[in-house]
Amino acid sequence: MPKGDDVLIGTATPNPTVQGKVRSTFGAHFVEVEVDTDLGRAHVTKYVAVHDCGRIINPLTARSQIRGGAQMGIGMALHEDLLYDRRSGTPLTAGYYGARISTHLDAPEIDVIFIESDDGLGPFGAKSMGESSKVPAPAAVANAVANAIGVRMKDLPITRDKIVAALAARTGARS
Amino acid sequence: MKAFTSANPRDLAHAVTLIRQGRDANRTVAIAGGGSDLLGMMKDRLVTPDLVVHLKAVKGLDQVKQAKDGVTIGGLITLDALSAHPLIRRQYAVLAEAAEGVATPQIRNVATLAGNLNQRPWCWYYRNGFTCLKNGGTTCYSVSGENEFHAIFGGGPSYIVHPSDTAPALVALDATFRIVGPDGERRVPAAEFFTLPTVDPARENVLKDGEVLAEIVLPARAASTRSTYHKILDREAWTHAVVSAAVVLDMNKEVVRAARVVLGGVAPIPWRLPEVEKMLAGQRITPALAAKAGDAAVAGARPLAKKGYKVPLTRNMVKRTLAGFAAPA
Repeated sequence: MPKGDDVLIGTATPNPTVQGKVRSTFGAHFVEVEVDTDLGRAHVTKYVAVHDCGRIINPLTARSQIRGGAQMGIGMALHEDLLYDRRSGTPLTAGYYGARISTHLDAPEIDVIFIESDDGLGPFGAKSMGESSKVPAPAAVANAVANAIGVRMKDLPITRDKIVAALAARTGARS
Repeated sequence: MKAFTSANPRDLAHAVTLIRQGRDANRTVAIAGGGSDLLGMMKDRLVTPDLVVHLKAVKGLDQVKQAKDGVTIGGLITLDALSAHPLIRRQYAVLAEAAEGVATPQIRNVATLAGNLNQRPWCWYYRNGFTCLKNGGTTCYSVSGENEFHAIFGGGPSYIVHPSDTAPALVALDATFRIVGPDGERRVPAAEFFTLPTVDPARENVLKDGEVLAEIVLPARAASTRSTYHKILDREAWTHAVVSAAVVLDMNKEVVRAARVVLGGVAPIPWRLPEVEKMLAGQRITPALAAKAGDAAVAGARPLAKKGYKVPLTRNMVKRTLAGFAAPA
């Protein structure tokens, strides 16, 4: 890692291996949801995203990047959907309104924690970040919903109709 | 977007004249309040008017005026101004709550009450330009297609749901609509303004071409009236109601003297529940009565394939909204 007045030189390559090693970025997400079992509403109340993206060069934009990806994942988990007309293939739910992307009110407080591992392979010790936080987000939300209602949802998005139907099926099976 | 002429009349009589002249010259005429729905439909070429008569400059139609037998609301009042009006909040809470739940703050700042009541359906087949019953065709594509959000009451031949939040509130408040058109003026009770697809599947109300919804008249309400509007959305903001409930209770201490329960998002018109209203009259509201009312609310539901979930949702919505009025045990 650089120290003091060291001169730093960055390099980039489309085949990022150094001495046969690959730099990987890691993340783990923790989600709390509240589910209204009468009305089928699932709402994220607390969200913690922990990422190893190597050395964080700009903490403010790095946190925003992680929050943005996580928020996309929450929308994907709970309401975003693209339905098609099966006869013509025309998309039915295109656009900001139709696709049900998240609004400000859908955005929970997302705490971001970075574990700045030092594998020494990336420029300035950094590793890739991108939308890596979108990858665990839908699974983390789905796990939280399963934990809350005791029924595991197997396709996205986990909308009201699926929650209501799953709970009704479970009640029906008991009675 | 097709080129069009815009006209900005200063009063209603002038507006009606412009509309009639445009029609006499064989031009397609559209009427805009805030324009938030019309502009999008023009961009999507769902409507292609030659002339847009924009009512924004019409004076005096954006006010709430108190009369001795009630309140008159101008059709051009924005949803934001309506929901913030102290008199509406105090005496007609159901309407204030319905208006403040519409869409987004940006839309509520320009969208008008009359425009909200007259907006076209948001069925995805209609809005994507399918030649359905609403677009001059002969088919309702939702019947054998994607119908998660379609009607569970009063459907057929079209299965749209009425998209307005303020409409169920105004039906529950026994409002009267004042309509101005080329043939003069007429008054229609809110409940008779909205029409089922069996009347005309291409339309949602009795408004004829060239007519303007000018004012909404609300009867005076006793101070003991309690009312509320609850809306279920499929994200936290900016969707039309999946299911909504407008409830107005005329109370005598803790006993319901008369009730109005009207649903949104479930039928091609605001859907009144007379059986539930009868059940509530003369009763104290308890959690048990609210549950019974919820069951009665969905007794006549006929869901299409993908919207069975709307039945328990409606039942639980009615139950919860009414339970909010239960006297503390």
